Amino acid sequence: MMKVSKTRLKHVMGIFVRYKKLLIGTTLVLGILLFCLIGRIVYPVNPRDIAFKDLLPPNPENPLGTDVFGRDVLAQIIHGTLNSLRVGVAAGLIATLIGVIIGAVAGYFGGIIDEVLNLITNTFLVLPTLALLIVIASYVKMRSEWIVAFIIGVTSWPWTARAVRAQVYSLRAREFVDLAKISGLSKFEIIIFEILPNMLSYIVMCFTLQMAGAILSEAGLSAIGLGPSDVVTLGIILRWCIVWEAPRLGAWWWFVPPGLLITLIAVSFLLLNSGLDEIYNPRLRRGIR
Amino acid sequence: MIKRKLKSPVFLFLLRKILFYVLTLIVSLTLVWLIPRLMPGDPIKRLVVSILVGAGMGGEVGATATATTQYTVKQAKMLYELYVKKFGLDKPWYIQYLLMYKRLFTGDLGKSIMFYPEEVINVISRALPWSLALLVPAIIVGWILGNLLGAYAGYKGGKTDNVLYSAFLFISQMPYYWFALVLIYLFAVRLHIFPAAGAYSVGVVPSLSMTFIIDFLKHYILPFLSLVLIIIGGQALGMRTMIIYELGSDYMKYSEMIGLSDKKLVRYAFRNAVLPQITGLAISLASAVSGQIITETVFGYPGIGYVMYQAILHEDYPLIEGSFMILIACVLIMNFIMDIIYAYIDPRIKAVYAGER
Amino acid sequence: MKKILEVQKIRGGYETPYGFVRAVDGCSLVAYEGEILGIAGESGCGKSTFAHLIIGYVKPPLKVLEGTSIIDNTDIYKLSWTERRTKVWGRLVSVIPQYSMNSLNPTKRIKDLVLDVIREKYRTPPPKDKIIEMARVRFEELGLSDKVLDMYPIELSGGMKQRAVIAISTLLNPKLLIADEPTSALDVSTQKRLLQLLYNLVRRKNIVRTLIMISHDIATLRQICDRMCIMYAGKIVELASTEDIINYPLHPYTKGLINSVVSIEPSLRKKVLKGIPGAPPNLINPPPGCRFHPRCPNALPICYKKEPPLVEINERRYVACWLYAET
Repeated sequence: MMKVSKTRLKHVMGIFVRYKKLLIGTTLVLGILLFCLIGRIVYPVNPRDIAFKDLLPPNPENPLGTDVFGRDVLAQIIHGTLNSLRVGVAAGLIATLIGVIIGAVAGYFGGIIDEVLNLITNTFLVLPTLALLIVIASYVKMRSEWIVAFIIGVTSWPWTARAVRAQVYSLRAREFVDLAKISGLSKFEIIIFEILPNMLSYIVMCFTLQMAGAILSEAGLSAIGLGPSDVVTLGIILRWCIVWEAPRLGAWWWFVPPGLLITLIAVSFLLLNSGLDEIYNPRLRRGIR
Repeated sequence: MIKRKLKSPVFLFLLRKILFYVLTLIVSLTLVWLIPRLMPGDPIKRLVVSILVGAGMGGEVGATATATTQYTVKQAKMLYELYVKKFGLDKPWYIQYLLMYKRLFTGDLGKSIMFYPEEVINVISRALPWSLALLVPAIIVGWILGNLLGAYAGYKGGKTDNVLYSAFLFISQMPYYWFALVLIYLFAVRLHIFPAAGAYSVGVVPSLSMTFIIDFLKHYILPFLSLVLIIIGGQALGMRTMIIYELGSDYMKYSEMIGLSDKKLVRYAFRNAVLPQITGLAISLASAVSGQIITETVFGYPGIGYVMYQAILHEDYPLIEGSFMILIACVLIMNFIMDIIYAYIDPRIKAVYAGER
Repeated sequence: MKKILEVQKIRGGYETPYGFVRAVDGCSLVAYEGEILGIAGESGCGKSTFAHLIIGYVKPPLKVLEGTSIIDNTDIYKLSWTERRTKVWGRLVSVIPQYSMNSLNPTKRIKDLVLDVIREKYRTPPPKDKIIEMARVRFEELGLSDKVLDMYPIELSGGMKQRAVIAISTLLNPKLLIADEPTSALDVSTQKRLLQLLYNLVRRKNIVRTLIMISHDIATLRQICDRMCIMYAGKIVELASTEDIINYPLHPYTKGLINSVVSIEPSLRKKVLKGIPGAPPNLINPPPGCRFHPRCPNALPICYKKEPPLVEINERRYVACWLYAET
């Protein structure tokens, strides 16, 4: 086990200070996580509690007011964010996994395998995934959050596959791969133990992008009523807003916060992605001291 | 002469592209065909139940059905047999698969349950023009304005860039329909400037009259804005990155070192940055279409998205599948057009294909 | 002989997240009209940065701290960026950048770049066909067929792109041409042809008056340069005629470089190849005293403490080493 030396720690902190986007992105993500994890302790209101005070604007007892059923909006947001994040992370992981596998295989083996996988990837890239999701989801009646995450993950991997393929393709011509071949590693061993570790940072970047997309996809699915049927996510809250015509009722405190939070989550992951990109791609650096 | 034409690079390129899109179409159609059959349960049974219960807003069944209408088991069975025959479910699966294509080419997408006995194809062809009227201008305007703004931000740098970048980032990640809710609240409920729903007011008949056009535009603005602003945000973000990337490239350095003016340099960078944005547009088309589907439902705008949404609510499977197929076909056609435009404009592609001779 | 370039104590470097990299730390140089001068040194010693500083192409993160550069009696750092771009670059001095393969705009034909360059220089530029005609003649002189003008960079080979860049850089017959590693990315036979081309540019065709060539490969430089300047860790350590450098090197680093190059000449065939132990120093925090002292076989105590100045030993022969300087 390596000891993290003081200078190394200082070095990492230095990176955070200089790369603004990375800093802001990480802060936002951590802030949101804190919000929904600590929130339920600091603000222990049950989101399902129906009080007989419908549609109250923000007041001392309900900082974000109540919805059309009299439930506290802030409590719903706290719980909803965590659920949304869970679905997003699961979907993101699935999509990244599929994307990395397909991209790595296509990039490393080339030839016919590459052509076929490319074709499949491009096909999925072109399809409007929501439309596909709608068809799939409308047939699956009992949608647990994991099923929703699975469906989203399985339809949004093309981005990562493309990016990973390009990277693997350029890496496979490098010397360390030749060395590995000479030492007798099998093709799969080379991919898993030599090439992918070199791309770890890149894969993390792909994951952040997938996360941002997954959050928005879940929101979209839930809005039409095809979201998870067992948990309340931010998207589901928005669905109620649509069904009960929140704008017409003037209940801005009800529909603004969930959408704002969805946007913030996506933004923070994109900032993380941009920040990491700046570190690894010097041409994109701007305003670095 | 013809042989030479057949081998020409342009022809080969077109052939490759067409082949790809046809393949994609086949894959999507297969998926639409496959999924209902993989799901547990009997889709025909569901269909029959839906019809018998009169789940729908109109049609002769809906009008005459009530909750207490009794249907004899014999009548239900007859309907069931009818539909099994119609969908060819009594035949082996490969025949069913091929039948789907036959039905597609003859435009027979089945009858909608909601609007029984109206044909699915009719429902869709009524709704499609509304969607296109919203989508196409939004994409074109969004692309042009987004690229200009993004290039400006990338070029300016400094504080302006920081502010613009944050704005682009935030705007591009807003869920389309959430922004629609915000717009409705601000402009329709609060300020009463624009109407909150529909494509035209009740009682107004769609025609080429001035009153209709004005009425339509009033209803059009909010849905249009909710789409276009987010597309602008996304495009601007991408273009800004491309411009920054191009501005730092070797050929820009060299062009500057041999004395080319700022104006020339900006033009070089912009031109090279815009080219990949065309492909970017094709990809963001998918997200824009997805966004539009939901936006239409929020506004009650009678486009194909709204139709799909209603179809889901009422479990109108023929309509769901039919609208999906038409949607996919439209998206693929648009992608194909964009591919052709891009290949025509980018000299690198022209050169590569010319070199293949 | 007339001085075409005079650089005085120029210091510049790069702002990085880890500190300021002192890439060129007080270099002075004189180049005379009509000569071919070589700048040699290992990768990372500051040669390319030096070229940028000479012509005044200083963009963040590159920063110039002090010093002057006078090209043909024009003080570069007294001019604004726009003045440098319109009056100096392309006209007085031209650069052939490193990796010139990527220096051509991939979406423009070669002739479009030619037109842009020429039109930029004249208030009332000559008509298009005249410009193309002039370009054709010049391109042919450099061994490029006139079809090249109508092509896109992607259609040209590496060597052709190199020549096209040389042609474009010299369209206006600049007095001084700086070539940064022109032969590095080429195979040996193309290298030879390119060196011949550069030589002819100065000596036979009079297209440019003076050539400064930068390379890490002394063997290449030796073939066409009259004088050579050796750089190490951002400093000039030796400056002398090619013959003196090759046959009578003074600075220990130069000696090390010469000894580590394979030579085909029969008299030197029995020579044993030696490398220089150690690695180049960190330019954010360079070692005190002479930058080479950690690797120098002849280091004196003073070398650890004070930097040796660049001293003129003979006519036009300079060394920066305590072995030859008065303390």
